[in-house]
Amino acid sequence: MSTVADTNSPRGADTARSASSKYKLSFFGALRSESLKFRTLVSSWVLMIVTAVIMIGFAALSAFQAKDYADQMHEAMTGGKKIPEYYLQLGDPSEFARQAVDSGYVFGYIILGAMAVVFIASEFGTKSVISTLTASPRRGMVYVAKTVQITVVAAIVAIVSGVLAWAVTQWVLSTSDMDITFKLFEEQTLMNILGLIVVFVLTAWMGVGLGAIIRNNAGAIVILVVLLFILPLLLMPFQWEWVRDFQNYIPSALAANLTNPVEPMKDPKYVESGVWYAVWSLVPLILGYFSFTQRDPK
Amino acid sequence: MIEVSGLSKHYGSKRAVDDISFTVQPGKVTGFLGPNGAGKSTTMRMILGLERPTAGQALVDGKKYSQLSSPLTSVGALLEARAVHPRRSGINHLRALARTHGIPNSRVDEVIDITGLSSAAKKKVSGYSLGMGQRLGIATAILGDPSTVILDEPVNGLDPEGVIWVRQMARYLASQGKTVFLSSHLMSEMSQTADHLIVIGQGKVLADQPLQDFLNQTGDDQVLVRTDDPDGFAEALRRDQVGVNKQDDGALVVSADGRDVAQRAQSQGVLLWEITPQQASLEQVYMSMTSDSVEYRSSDPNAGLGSGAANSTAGAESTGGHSGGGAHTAAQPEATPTGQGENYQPSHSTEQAPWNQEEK
Repeated sequence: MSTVADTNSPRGADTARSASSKYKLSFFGALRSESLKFRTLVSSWVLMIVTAVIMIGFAALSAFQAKDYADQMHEAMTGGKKIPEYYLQLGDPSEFARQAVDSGYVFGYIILGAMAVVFIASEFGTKSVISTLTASPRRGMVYVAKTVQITVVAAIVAIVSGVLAWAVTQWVLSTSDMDITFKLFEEQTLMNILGLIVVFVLTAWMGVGLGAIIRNNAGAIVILVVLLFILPLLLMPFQWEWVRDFQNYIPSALAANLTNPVEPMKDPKYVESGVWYAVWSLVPLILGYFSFTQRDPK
Repeated sequence: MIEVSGLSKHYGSKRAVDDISFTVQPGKVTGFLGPNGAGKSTTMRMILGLERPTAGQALVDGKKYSQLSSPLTSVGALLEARAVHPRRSGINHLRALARTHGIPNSRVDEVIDITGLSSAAKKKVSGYSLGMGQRLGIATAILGDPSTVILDEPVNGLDPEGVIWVRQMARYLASQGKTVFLSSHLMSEMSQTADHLIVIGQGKVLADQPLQDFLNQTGDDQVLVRTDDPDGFAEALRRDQVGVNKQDDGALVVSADGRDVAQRAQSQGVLLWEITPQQASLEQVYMSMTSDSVEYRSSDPNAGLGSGAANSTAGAESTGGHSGGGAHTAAQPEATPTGQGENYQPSHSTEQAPWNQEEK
């Protein structure tokens, strides 16, 4: 090996010893460690950027559709031109335009959930969990630190992508013949971004929990995708009333409610949707806690 | 200090570790020896709280590892050198661990320098060689300047210069009053590094004693003597019912203490120009002790190499009393305090035999 060790003076002890007693394991330290771990993987940044780009891209496309709808409506009102039939069901163009901000959430929350899975499951896949738990043998502390880290990341990604999506949306909508732009600091817009934050954070918790239970990236991501994406397809063939009721309470339906700028007219509304989505997230998160703290790493 | 008492770990019906107790004292290097599957790594993992014991407990400085207020400065451990995310750089791996205890980056830079990783620290760990990975593991172990160091196979994959460095570091840490507990399957390495040995086989402690006592437990005294008339002296000894074996180089290995042999030579009028007390090698004592405890037995590597190879080993096997094919590795160099003949090694050598230079 080309690297050369100082074999004449196997130090390693001298300099830090006098000060060693002042170094203590703490939750804040564990959190800083998890933060650094997250930031020092390229995959973390790629997934965050992809999430934001998808959110912004879908917002731009949806805004362009809203602009087109508004322009057609304007031409119909001023020039008597007929509105295309597929636009007639969309209602008020200004209300429709508001849906652009969160329009990419379906892809965004799956990517973010997968990122949360990888954040914890890859520790088992790479065996780096052995280093982690040797430095921080209080497993519950490590799990909570990871959850807090991913919560902060999910919230920041939601805020950044939500605000940028709003900005892009306004830029596109401002070119319309009708005034269908809307402000950031108004209740409906802020609630829409808040809904996105709730969905992203709770989905990240779901990912952390599944990652801790399954301890395998691929397996946990498959289950996540089934829960978020495939479940409605699985239930679709069944027309029993209880199945149709249940369909309103599965993660994809609840996330759709929470990211809708207009509160649903019937149950589950915003708060109820948030509570039920939290149940879907907290169950794996809590089970993941027990898995992480009680099952020894291999 | 590490105190292990009544420690057991069962996986279903398999007893990986079975009610073992020992103490690892500060100020000395304690070697942990045992065949593959003996329970060494499981024991070390239980000391570090990575495995929950089925029974018993392991304490470090009087506390369970998870209850230590500052685990990194209490215990530094190298369990698996590759317990690192491959897409993270070595320096960031160390910084992440240091953050848990608020250890500054300057200390991280220092251990990188100490372990000779400066040129590779910013590279991703996936690009590290086995030896570099091992150095990173050792850097992790000394990061907190711990009072106890636990190293599982620390010299695996290291070049000779790295092996010497690890040996010096272990000795140095012990000289500083630290508790040093290391396992290795390189017994010649143990013989040069350890002050005290704990031998484990099939989950049980087979020996827990100072290295010298371990080496002295082979029974009869033996001396190697050289004389101008080895055949005549050997014949005289045999007449007196004293065990003797003639070596290829003409030396005689006599089963008696040095004074007795010298007296016999004097009475026979034989000039002895070398009398060297003999000790069994660590390998021999270890193999003798663990021959019934190996979990994985190898078949004779010559068995599948054709009749020529098999024939070439037949003579050697017959002198050692082994049957061809299916001879297990543990029994091969079995210690034979008397009559070792040509297989006998005069003392624990500083040279590593080719077979024990291999990775486990």
